[in-house]
Amino acid sequence: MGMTDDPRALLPLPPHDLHVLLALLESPRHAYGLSQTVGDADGPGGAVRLEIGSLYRVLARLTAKGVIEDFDPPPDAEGHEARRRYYRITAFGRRVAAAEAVRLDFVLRQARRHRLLPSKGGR
Amino acid sequence: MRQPPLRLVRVLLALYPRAFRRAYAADMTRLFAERHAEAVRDGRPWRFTLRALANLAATGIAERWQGGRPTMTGFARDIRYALRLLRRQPSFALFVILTLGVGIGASTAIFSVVNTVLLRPLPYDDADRLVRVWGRFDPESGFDFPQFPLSNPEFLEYQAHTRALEAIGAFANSAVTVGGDAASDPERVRAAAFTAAMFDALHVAPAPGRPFSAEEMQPGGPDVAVLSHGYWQTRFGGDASVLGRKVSINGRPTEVVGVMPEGFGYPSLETRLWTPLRIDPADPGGRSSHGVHAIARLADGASFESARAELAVLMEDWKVRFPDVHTGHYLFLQPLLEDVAGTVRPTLLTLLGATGLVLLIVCANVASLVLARGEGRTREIAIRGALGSDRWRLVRLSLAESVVLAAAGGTLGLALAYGGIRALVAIDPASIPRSVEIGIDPAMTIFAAGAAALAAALFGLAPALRGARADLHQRNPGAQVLRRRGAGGATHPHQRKRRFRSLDDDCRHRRGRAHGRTRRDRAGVVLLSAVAASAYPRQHRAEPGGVRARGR
Repeated sequence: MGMTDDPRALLPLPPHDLHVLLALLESPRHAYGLSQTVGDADGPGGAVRLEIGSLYRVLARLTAKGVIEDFDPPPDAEGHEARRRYYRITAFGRRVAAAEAVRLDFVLRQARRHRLLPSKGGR
Repeated sequence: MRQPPLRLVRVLLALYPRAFRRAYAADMTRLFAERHAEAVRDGRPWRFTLRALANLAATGIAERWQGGRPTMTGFARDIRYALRLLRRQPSFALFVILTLGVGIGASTAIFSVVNTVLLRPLPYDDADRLVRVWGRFDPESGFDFPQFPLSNPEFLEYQAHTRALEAIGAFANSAVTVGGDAASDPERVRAAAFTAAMFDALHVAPAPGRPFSAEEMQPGGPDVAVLSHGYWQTRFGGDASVLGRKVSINGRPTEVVGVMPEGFGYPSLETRLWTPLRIDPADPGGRSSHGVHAIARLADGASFESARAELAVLMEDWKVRFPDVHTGHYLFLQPLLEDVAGTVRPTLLTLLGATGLVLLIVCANVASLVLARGEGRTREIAIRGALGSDRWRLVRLSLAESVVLAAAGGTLGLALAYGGIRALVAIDPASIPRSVEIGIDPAMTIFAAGAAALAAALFGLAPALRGARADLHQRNPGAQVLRRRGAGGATHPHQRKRRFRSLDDDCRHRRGRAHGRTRRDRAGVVLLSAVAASAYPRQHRAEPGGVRARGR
């Protein structure tokens, strides 16, 4: 299934994958919740449009790589909620997200150096 | 658009690989419905639907072609570029997509009908083992009937004689009046009388309930009936207590003993109920009194040919024994599917051929349009060559455009075919056998996708190959164009330097815009830049669809 235990092998993360991971770091969610969070301008996704087909490709890909896993809905879920599949980030997934964050941090430092962004602490 | 087009979603899901579908299709369909409801609340259902469906089609194809790998590899970038180009020429794109849509739609609709009516097995177990028994009167008999029912003695003798057929059942069409007693209003419905062997031959049995018992098949037996599933639902509300109840049929109290499974309808989907067909071997009636139809199932080890040979022997015997009846009159076998589809077969095949031709003509027209447009792009392509694009890349770029157009045309065609079939079935369901079975199905999606791919190859390849010739060789017209335009270009070193700096910016503008007057003026600039770029490390040179080699 293309499993690897080096998180850096998955870098750079495609943007959609990263946004899904960010949303899952907040809390486990079902696909509907994910599509809302990622598409929400105030959410961690910062309003990235994620259509259904793309969302499920991301979910399938991340699941296959062991970055996220699905689980049965919590026992107190009712109605619609009880039939949904929930997704959460795995320990490996956290390492992948962290590695991506380190990489992005490096990118941002480069951007600052080229004055694309204000330096930290200053305006 | 108040209702989510879930069937269309399911059809598009067929594009995904099977394993992916098994894992996610149900969830995806549900999510689509939920998001659609939201979009309806927000008052933009069309926008949502079109976007989501296009995304499903695109991701389905991507998932199938490149598995779990993320998109936006080279070809995906070409596709994005092609989309941008087409957006700049909406009338061209619209015309091509509409033309393709109509061509693909018509052939997909007809294919779907052909597939259902002629190719797909009948909805019975091992349906290819089922045969229909017909009588025929050749002109030498004094009549001319290519298909005629059997007489009771003919049926009984054949039934007793055959070894190649394991179950041979007889049936007769009728119409009966249901109700009309104190309890209910009368209703005239289509019915059929079945011998018990009919259920054996078709491998179907009533559920709930039972087929006719041996006692009920005896001449003078009790009045019983089996209902169709649809009639059970509409007239009796699907009430299971109707079993064992007496219902007035043709004024006689008749016990309902069973209900056929949903979807069963033989000899017609409009047959509402079945009664026993009782043939008394002691008094079968006249040999020339033709009133029953027969179907049969081939016995294990028997083939259609062996059954036919066996029947031929019996016919020789009858000719000798009953010369006054069986001169120019005999029985013959026909595969049941052929019998059901028989009358419309030539029409459908002709239509299929015709729509195939229409599709070809559409492709030819679109190809000439694309070619004509390609003439106007010679310079652009030459520039790309100058900037370091290899031929294959140029072919791909041109193909990307065809793929985008064909995919859009195919999707439109699928929608048109879907609408067309529904209209066809709604207008006159009886004109085509098995019409209710016709619907949108994976085979139809695959056909539309195949037609679109074929179209893309047909109208895309020629312009693509033509574009590929526009390299930087001397005799090449593209290079001539470049040289002509570049003749008056900047020569002063300062100018050259400045313009070289603007190479990237310029290319970025250029690839975003269609070739127009203003672009021509820039061509010279770009050529000079290209000359300068030849002294520049290769990875910094521009390539189509992405000016710099990006380190993604």
